[in-house]
Amino acid sequence: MTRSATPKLGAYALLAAVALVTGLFLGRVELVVFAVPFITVLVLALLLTEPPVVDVALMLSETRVIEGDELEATVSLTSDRPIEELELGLVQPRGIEIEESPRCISLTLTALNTLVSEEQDAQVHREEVFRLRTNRWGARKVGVIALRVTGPGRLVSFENVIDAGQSLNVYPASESVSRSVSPSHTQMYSGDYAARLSGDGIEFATVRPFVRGDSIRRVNWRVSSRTQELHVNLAHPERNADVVLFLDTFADIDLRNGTVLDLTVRGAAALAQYHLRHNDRVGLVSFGGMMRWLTASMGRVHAYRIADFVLDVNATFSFAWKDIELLPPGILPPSAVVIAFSPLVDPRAIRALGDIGARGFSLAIINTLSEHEVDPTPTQEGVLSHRLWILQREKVRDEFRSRGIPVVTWTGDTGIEAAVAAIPRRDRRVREVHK
Amino acid sequence: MKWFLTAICALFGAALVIHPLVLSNADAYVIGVAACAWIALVIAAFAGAWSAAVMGGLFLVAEYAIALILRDTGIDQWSALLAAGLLLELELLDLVRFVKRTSSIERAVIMHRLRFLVGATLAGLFVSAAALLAGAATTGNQPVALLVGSAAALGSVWMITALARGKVGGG
Repeated sequence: MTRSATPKLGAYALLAAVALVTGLFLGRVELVVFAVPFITVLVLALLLTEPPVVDVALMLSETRVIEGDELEATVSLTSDRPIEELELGLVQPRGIEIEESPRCISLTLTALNTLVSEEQDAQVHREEVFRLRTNRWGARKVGVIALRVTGPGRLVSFENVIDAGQSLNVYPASESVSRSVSPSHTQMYSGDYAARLSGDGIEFATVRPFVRGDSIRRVNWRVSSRTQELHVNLAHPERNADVVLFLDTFADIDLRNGTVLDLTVRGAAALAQYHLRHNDRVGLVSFGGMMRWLTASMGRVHAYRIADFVLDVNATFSFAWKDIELLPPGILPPSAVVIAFSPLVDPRAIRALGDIGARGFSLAIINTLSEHEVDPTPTQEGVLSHRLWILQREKVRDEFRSRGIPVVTWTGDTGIEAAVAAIPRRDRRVREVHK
Repeated sequence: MKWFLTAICALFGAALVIHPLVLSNADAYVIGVAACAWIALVIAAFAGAWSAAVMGGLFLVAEYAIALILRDTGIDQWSALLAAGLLLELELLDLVRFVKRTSSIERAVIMHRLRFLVGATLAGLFVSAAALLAGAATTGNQPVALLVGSAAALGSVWMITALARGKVGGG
């Protein structure tokens, strides 16, 4: 622990010195007497001050929580002797709030041996519980603890900042959606979309004459009796789709309610859950200063993978030009639906989205930055440049729309489902089977 | 509680600056310095600033020194009490500052601080009284009185140290 003198020590020393010198200079014993109490306190306090040895540990009640959840952080203090005055502060990490003392998180502890004491090994032990509330998703580190022990008279303090480093994964609280972007093509696995092909399934497709090998159970007796020839029903098989969620992480922009990345992550998490629930294969691409991806897959384990993936989504500043050529083959499966979350501010992301659309992927863009969120500078030039900026953004969106790529704006005031509902339906989309 | 302590500090500061005023028969210079001392102590109490507390203490020393020069008759027998009073005032200011800056304080901490405050004030009073006795004795050039006074001062320091080791212990 770092030993340091408090302002009080300096004040007492100065007062004593001034009184002594003045007393000597004037030859008055009263002024020397004036200095005596301060010298006494200084000498006594310095003689009695001993460096403390305090062991600190932190334990979290949960290590994985959902945004908005509460948890407890228990700080354990162990010392080889009682400590009369100890100040303890848990440094509040970003996105986590300490409840009941939101502004000042320092706490003073004392008489550690009077509450929970373990007399064996002549140690005193105490636990202090902080109640935390998670406000924002992300992988957090909790456990930077500031400790200050003051000696007798608070003339000398011993301070230490301990990093008890506990990881806390705060998953985004995603809404439950009941619709998403419908794919144009289906894939080979069983799913919830009626494929265009004919085969086994429950969605009626057509009737055709019986051929050798057809199951007798599929004979349409009504048509067969009318035509005097055996006919069988054909159905559309239920298949799944490949969905790639494209997250533009070039920039994070503060909005009135959170940030652009907050919208991106919450929307992506909600749509990922929806598609996984419908047996689709879901992949993720975090396209930004640091490019990351998650190969499309399905199932419960993949849901956990996605949850962990979005925790590390952050905007990393980079001048490097990024292109979708950097993505390994298979990250964008053929005929996949690509749902992009982008504020459409970085030209690299805009170009990448244009490339994806040009390659024939079924692309839908959810614009996460509404122009209403950005206030113009209150000058004539500021207002004019703001209007120009709005026009530029409208032009970008129109270019996408002219290429058949729908762009909708999502502000976060409504759920992601409302934004998805605003995406125009394609004529060639496959139908969803309602079971 | 912090406003109660702040008010006590302000009132006690006023009580401290009165003694030199009385000593100097309310001399204009002393009144001016006393006002400065009291204002500094009040600012220290309200703002919790040690710099203001130090200024207040220095002004009080200056006020007392001027009062002593103006009086210039014998030894002021209340000097030990005034010194202990200033120590108590500064300890109270420290307590106010501590209470204002810390969000959550346990009762045991306050009790410990009050115990220290009372103990330090009494010890300061005792030792300064001993020093005053020794000083008064030396003015008459009496070697025996000087020895007795010095022994008393040393003895009191030793006693306080021994007591503090027993009571305050492992801080």
